[in-house]
Amino acid sequence: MTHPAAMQADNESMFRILHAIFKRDLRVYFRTRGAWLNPLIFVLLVITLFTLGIGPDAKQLASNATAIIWVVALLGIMLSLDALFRSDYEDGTLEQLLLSPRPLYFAIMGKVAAHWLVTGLPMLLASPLFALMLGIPISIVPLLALGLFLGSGILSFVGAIGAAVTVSLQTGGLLIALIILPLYVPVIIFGAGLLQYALEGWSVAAPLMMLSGLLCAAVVLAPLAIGAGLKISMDS
Amino acid sequence: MEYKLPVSSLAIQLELNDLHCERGERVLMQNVNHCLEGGQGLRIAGANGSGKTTLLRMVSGLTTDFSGDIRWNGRSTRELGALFRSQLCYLGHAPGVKAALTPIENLQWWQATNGSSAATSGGVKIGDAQQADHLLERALATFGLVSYSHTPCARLSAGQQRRVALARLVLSQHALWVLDEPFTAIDQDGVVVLEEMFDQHLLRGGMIVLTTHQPLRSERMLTLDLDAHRAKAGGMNGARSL
Repeated sequence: MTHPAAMQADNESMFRILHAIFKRDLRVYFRTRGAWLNPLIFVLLVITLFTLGIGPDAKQLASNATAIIWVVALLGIMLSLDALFRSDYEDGTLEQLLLSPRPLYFAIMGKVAAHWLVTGLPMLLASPLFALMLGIPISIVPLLALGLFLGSGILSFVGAIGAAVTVSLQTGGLLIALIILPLYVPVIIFGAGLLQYALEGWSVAAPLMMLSGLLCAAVVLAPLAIGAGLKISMDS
Repeated sequence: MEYKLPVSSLAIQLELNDLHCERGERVLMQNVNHCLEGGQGLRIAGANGSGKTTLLRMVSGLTTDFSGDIRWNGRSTRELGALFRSQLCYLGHAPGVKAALTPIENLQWWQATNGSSAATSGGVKIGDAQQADHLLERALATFGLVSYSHTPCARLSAGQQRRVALARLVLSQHALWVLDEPFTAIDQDGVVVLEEMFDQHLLRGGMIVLTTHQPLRSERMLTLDLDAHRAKAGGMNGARSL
């Protein structure tokens, strides 16, 4: 539709569906706490296990801290992603979303953004605790928090592709991991790099910009792939 | 029932042209042809597993794995895309109701994602928040959900959850209703309410495609029997195996 009034209506409907889905999902998350609390507890537990496994040597702990934090955060988010579309698929709300006349792209953006907020934000808030547990200097905590927030955004958007493709399968959990873990490589490299650079006292501009760039690309491009994946999952 | 805006001032038409669908090695349906006008309902009949749900999903566009085409006002529904979906209200096997949300919240998000555009409808401004609330209340009242409007749906019975899904029909301005077993888990009173809504929708010039095993009293309901469109097992007049 090229009519100006229709264009106006299109713009309205874009944000209307984004807002509606974002609000709906946040409501659901706050009423079913497991969805966002479990990944956080998982991350805390696994980090605790690492500290127990590595032992009391603070130096050794700190030298492995960057890798531990990122790998654990990645696993935590990945586990929570399995549920991203599954409940919608089972209760039929996904069908309604796919049959909406409004752009699916923005509905997906709202959905993943809500997921990012409830998984990324708690991790950002808990990052001082992670730092304490792993012997990371407090001065680096703001960077750690920022890095985790950006990184979790990329992980949410990219991981949602895997969740979309596997939503109709009964045993999607492990398959998601196989599909999306390779895609997480850049996030690990630049995320852990960010911390490493900060610990060494180098400029963190480069990894920070890479993470921001990756996030922008993921936010813009991933919903296309997610939408296609959902349609394929539904079309069976 | 209060006055509801007319579905469409123009004549509408849904054509099923030579639909053929296979699942695995099996031909689920073949040579399905039908033309439906505004004001007519179509009831898809057939034994369990004869492809009733599949046909509804084909009409709604959820399933694209079939040959033949489905035309809305003479244009392929696949090409029409969002324009067709803006005319469509679909109710599937699963009610599409979020268990963590209350009936009112469920209707609100559905209205925002699938409801008619808030801007204008038939030249009448209906974006008014007060009027929207009024409409929501009416939808809940129609299906006897008023006293449950702030109870999370997880605590409602299966029948009540189906009622929440059906309450969308009160909000719906869509011309085409595609309903998969709408009477499932609905009690006698609900059936009466629902049948009255069907009548009104058809009177307004709307269109309904549904599956049900419930006998329908409306004379505007035609029947399409999928058992007649199954692949014949061996030879021209090979008996259907049941």
